[in-house]
Amino acid sequence: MPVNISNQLLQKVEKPAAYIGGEYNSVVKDKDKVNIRFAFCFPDTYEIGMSHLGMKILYHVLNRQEDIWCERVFAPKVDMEEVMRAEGIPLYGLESKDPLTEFDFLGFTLQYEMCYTNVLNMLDLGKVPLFSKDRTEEHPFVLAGGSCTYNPEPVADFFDFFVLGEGEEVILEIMDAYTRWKNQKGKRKDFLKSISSIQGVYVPCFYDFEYNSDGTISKRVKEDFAPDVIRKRIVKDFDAAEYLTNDIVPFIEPVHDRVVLELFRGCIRGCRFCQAGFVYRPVREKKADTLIKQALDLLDCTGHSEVALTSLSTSDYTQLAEFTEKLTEETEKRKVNLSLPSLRVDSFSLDLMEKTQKVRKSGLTFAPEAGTQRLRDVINKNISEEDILNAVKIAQSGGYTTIKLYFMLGLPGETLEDVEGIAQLTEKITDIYKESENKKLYGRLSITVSTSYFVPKPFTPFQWVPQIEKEEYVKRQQHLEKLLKKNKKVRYNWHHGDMSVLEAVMARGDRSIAKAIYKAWESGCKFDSWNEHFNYEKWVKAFKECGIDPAFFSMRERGKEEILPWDHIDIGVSRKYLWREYEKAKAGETTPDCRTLCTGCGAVSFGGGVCYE
Amino acid sequence: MSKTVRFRFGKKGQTQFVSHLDLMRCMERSFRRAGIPLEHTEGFNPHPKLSFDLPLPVGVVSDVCFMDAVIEEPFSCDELVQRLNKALPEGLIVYEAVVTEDKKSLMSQVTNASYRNVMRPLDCDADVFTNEMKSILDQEGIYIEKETKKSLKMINIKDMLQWYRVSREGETTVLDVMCSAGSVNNLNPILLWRAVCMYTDYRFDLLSLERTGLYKNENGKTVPIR
Repeated sequence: MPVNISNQLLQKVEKPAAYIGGEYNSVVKDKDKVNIRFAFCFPDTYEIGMSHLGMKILYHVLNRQEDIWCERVFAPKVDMEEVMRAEGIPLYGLESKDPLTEFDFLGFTLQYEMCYTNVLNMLDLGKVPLFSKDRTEEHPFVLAGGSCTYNPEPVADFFDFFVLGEGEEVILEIMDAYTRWKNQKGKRKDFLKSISSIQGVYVPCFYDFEYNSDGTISKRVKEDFAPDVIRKRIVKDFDAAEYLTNDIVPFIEPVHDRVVLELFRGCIRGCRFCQAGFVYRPVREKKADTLIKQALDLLDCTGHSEVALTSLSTSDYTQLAEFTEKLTEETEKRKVNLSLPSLRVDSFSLDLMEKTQKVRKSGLTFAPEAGTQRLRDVINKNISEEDILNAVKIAQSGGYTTIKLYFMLGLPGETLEDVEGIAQLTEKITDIYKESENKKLYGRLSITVSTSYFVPKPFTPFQWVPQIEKEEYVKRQQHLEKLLKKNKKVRYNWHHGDMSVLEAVMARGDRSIAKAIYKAWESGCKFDSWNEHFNYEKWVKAFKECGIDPAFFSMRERGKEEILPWDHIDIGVSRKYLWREYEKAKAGETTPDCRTLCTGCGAVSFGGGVCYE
Repeated sequence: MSKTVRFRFGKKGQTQFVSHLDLMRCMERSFRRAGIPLEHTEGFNPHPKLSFDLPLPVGVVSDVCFMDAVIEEPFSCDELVQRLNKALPEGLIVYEAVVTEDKKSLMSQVTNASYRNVMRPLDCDADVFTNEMKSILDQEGIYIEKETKKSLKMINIKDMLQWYRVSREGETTVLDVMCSAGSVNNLNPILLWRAVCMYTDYRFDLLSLERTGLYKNENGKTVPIR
């Protein structure tokens, strides 16, 4: 039965259109004519969730099946949640308005660690038991995918199963297994058992951990039938992959409100701090012609007036020149904007920007990540100071006066000298403008320096390293602030330290973390990634009450032989390779990108992509 | 050759919760989906020539909404209506399209609007509630606090009511009003509803709030926009 949300209730909340569905291209089916009802749950607001490409693709893939109806669910904002709790309205699917309990599957995407309390809040609002062990035959299966699930352990107690890697193929295999199971009228566990053999599916209740007295893992145990390692899924032939058509056109404006083209998956670069650079390997491209066709299809069926390109490093797309030339031809014809992601700055990309951004010269973004060449070599950010300064010179001669620079503080091996290097690099960039003949450009120059607090992530060469102490981070941040203050052209932004500390605990936590997440949620934590909602004190208290020392997970160095909580997950890149990269980092040696030289990470075993070019 | 076409459309059902700004974006996209090219403004940031009448407040439905579009291709008015309706989300419906020579913007012409409130009393008889509504509206002044950009201001909304009628229809009480509307003096029907809530102790459900007409001044007479 659909929930009853009266007009008077919707009058009380901001942006009520986020809670009514009915958008163009949203899919409504006859619920008596479908066998499987799937709720795709995004644990953040509508505006953020509706910008997420993964959700759109899976919504499309599932709804193309006649017997499956996939709907969307987002985290209601605080005002709507208050109304729902006061009126006893359970969380519902936007398309049917049916409560979550009427679905067969609740599929969450975990895009960032700070969304975990929102998952619990949504389950609670949907009247679904939060812990997997408490769910019975009458409840939906609760699953998760997305980049956080490469270390699923901190949230393993809440989910019935995880889907690792790219979902568009495996999700249908799971649906098939469900149909078979439903016909056999089996027990809940029978279904989980039946899917545990599908590549990419991880059922945590079939696994357990034993611990040493120091808290590290001594042994991983499992049910006999469960696989030893769970290997992620990829779509081998990305060019031929199912792509999004009939994309939903939201009424209210999402964060990204446009046609999005995915040029390729994966990244050839191998920056050592970047999880995405390892977990999405190997690089697989779409052909330029395929992309053009998909762009036109999407423009036709959405009516959008902007096209954006997405990928981890767009400048590495092998057919970029040919593709953008064809695409701009089409977008000009249709009076559609082409929005470019941050490209490596060279004469080609500037020319492209001139062509596409007729309105005004928007800013240029550089991400040197570290202030000195020494530290950039440590993190394998293969960009030299000369590259950066040359790019700035090109930008300056092109008339660009807004420059954004991104850095991380607290990278492994960082010294005060590296921190000061950030200020020095900023100074050199300023000098390029100061010394130029065009004084107007110097007058207009505005540089924004942003620093984040480095969080070591699983499946990177830095998965063994400690995060630096918060006090140390604050010290370095303040030191840099003092140095940058001298430069009147610079605005300096920095990250909230506590949030990054918590992120570091979640990122590399083990199964014991779940009870602290539960406690934090119970004490009112939600929307932890929103500064106005984040409450660190509550989290500290939650960890204390559970007897967990967060620093054990965030600020402890792991040994070479230590069993890591995510060791049973196989992303295709071997642990040996990551260790080798870690050793090279310590020695300050760089590693070339995949197209220059294969360095044997292991992703070749997937049998496709850049490894076979 | 381009021409200006005036569309009358309805905003009903769930789309009553779509804000005016979102509606404008939605219409623009619907024209694109329908394959109806709109003329664009000149300059650095060209945007389609599409203009609307008085914004409908969120939570109000109507069959009398208007928009003017400058259209490039020589489609017939019937074809425009057909194409657009295929491209619109559920709840938005185009009823008619006429070529107009009217050069004045729709919004600037609006002087009055009529609304219909359908209310169902929850703890009294519809007769009692109808009388209650009558006595509230018959008062010399109906005061309510209005939020302006700077402060809260007490206003008398009776001054902006040109005409009203309260009647009982079955188990409901129907309030029809004609009030000032437009850029000079505008009574938001939501404000009227809030005032009614304040003045009565009876509880009621607002079943629907509908804009039933839009008017302009023509030679001293108030006439419907069309």
